[in-house]
Amino acid sequence: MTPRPLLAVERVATHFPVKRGGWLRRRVETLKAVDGVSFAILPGETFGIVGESGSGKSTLARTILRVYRPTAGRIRFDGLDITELDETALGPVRRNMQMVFQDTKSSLNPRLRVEQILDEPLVTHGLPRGRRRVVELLEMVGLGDSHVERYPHQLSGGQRQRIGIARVLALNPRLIVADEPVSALDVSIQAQILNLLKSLQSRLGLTIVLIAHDIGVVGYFCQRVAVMYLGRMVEAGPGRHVTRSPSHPYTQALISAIPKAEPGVRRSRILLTGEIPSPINPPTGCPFHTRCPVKLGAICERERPPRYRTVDGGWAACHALNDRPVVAEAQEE
Amino acid sequence: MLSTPISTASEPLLDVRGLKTWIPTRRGEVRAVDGIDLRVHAGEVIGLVGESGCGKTLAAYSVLGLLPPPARVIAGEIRFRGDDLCRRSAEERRRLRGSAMAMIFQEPLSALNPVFPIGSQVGDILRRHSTLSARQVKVRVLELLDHVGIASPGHVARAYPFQLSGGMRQRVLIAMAISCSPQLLIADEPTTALDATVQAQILDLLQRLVEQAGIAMILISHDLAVVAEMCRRVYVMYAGRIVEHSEVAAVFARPRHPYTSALLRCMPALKQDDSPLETIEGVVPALTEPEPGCRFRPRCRYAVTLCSDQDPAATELGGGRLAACHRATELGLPGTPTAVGADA
Ligand SMILES: Nc1ncnc2c1ncn2[C@@H]1O[C@H](COP(=O)(O)OP(=O)(O)OP(=O)(O)O)[C@@H](O)[C@H]1O
Ligand SMILES: Nc1ncnc2c1ncn2[C@@H]1O[C@H](COP(=O)(O)OP(=O)(O)OP(=O)(O)O)[C@@H](O)[C@H]1O
Ligand code: SF4
Ligand SMILES: [Mg+2]
Ligand SMILES: [Mg+2]
Repeated sequence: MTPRPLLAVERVATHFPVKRGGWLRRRVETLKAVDGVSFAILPGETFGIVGESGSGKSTLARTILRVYRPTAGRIRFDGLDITELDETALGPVRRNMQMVFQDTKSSLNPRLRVEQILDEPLVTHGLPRGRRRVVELLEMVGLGDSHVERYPHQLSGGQRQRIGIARVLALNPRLIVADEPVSALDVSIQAQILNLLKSLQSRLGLTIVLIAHDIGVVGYFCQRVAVMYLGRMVEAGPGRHVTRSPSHPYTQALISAIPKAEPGVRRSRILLTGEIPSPINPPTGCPFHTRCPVKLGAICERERPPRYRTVDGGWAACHALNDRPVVAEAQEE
Repeated sequence: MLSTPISTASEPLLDVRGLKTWIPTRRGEVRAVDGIDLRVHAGEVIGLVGESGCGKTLAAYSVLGLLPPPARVIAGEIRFRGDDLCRRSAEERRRLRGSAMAMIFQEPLSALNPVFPIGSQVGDILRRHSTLSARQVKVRVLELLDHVGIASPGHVARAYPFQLSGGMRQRVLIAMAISCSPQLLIADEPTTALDATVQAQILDLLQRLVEQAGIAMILISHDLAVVAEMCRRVYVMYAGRIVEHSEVAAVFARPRHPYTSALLRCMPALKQDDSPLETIEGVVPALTEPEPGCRFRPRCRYAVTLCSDQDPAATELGGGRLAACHRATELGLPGTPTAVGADA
């Protein structure tokens, strides 16, 4: 029997109403930021979500953590259905699922010293406090007590991100969702933070969802990876497989687009035309059909592709893979 | 393809020597660019890489004469077609920009004026630097937009910057930069703000344009992989200095400066296994009062006593290779596992 997932997301959609048009013909339209996403994460797993800007990664993260209430679908955390819980009922759940942000400048209060920043969550959740605990947390993220007195602006970007991680660790959460934790940092500092997250993950048995637009980062860090396009997942599977031998035409294009750092090698890229369509009027059928280099025809424009099996529990939602077994039918909500 | 020696006999198009660009501040002079040498030959694409804040943009602004005060060039020569630009008047340099040299800026949105339509902004450059009639300008604007791969030039010419996506804006900026057929183009992080699939489109476009028109290009980036794909030679910058210069393939296979080596090995994309990434501990030093010795020393795992005492000069390593490290000839530094066929 497979163990119970720590997080199970079923056909989740998060739509936003947006106002469009001038003052005469104002109308409200629906922006489908996340549109029918399903996945499950086992305890101790590292799960990566990649996708280009606007594909819905951050919205999905906030929905998982119930910052947003999904428009449709169900979210279960350790078996408990949290889709409809109100703030009071969410309290104890919140402690166990925490978020690390990209922008450490605005996510850390500039008027508080490091000590106060780390003390705050302990107070909120009524946990044991004190200088020793603060120093212990700092040591976990590779900083020392010399940083206790500092304000965020007296720290480098990498150090601020370490504080952001320490603040999350203060609560001993079971799930950490890290939304682009390294994309604002220099490569040399990125490596420090990724190594830190990885060692914490194995030492503390954390479950981590890592969101990034850099497929190299996600492929290196995560056991399983899912690829998002226009609010939907188009492929998922073992990290190495998805990033080395992708099955979905979009993943293939995404990976071929990344410079491979092999000097003198002119690769043949799959050049996509145009850019991601608007999530306000997303294409019907397969969301990728407007840019897809292998589009089959009417079926891609009309029918949502089901999930076809790839390898090791992986799948890709593309009609061109229809010689393979179906894992799940297309998800229309 | 990469086996020709770096040194080209002809005189370089751009020859920068000992350039220092400093910025006076209340806390002292920020030595943003602190004595760099850099050469570009006609029609050649070179890379300038380094972490945030190492002085890449200010070096580019120095060449173009676009330094925002109080930043100013305090020493060095910038020879363009043999002529030292530092001796030219502001007016002469303005005329040179847009006609002989052009730049694609790091922030595409702020490089465009929000209140004018795209067509008039592209047309402005043509009017300023050519003798075309109003009608000819209009025709040329549409040609240029078409040339940079914009599908409906007429529509885009009438649009305002905010109505365009990031990729489209970058195409417009490229159209503006090449509008007067420059000999030298400086592209400052032209794709950093873009998505991977759009970045691929823009890099392809740049490559096609410079090849077709024989434009020399300095591609500024913090991404070594982008440089590997586009450039034959690369300058690696650290804290205001050039620490290594070589053919790209050689740098990847056998870096000669510990900073370059570490930079190559901390990139997750190049990783073949799950072992921890190489890191560069510590942070880039403040550029106000550099400590004596090598600027990379506090972060360097190969540092010896000499490194704290003496600032290493750039050492010629044969075949045009340079590295500013006391131990450049003795260390066998690891490069990337993927680089093949390169010979240091
Ligand atoms: N609160 C909101 N109200 C309306 N639209 C929103 C809201 N939040 C996000 N969106 C829209 O939803 C879509 C998905 O946005 P989201 O921030 O989730 O993307 P992302 O994948 O995280 O992108 P990035 O890589 O740029 O961070 C975008 O089109 C965005 O403009
Ligand atoms: N007006 C200023 N006053 C003080 N310091 C400045 C000023 N402008 C730039 N600097 C400093 O000069 C250094 C070089 O800046 P520059 O913009 O050239 O870096 P860069 O290599 O282009 O970085 P990035 O990759 O982030 O664009 C930086 O350390 C920066 O902080
Ligand atoms: S379903 Fe059709 S349009 Fe979508 S990725 Fe597959 S082939 Fe392309
Ligand atoms: Mg986001
Ligand atoms: Mg810059």
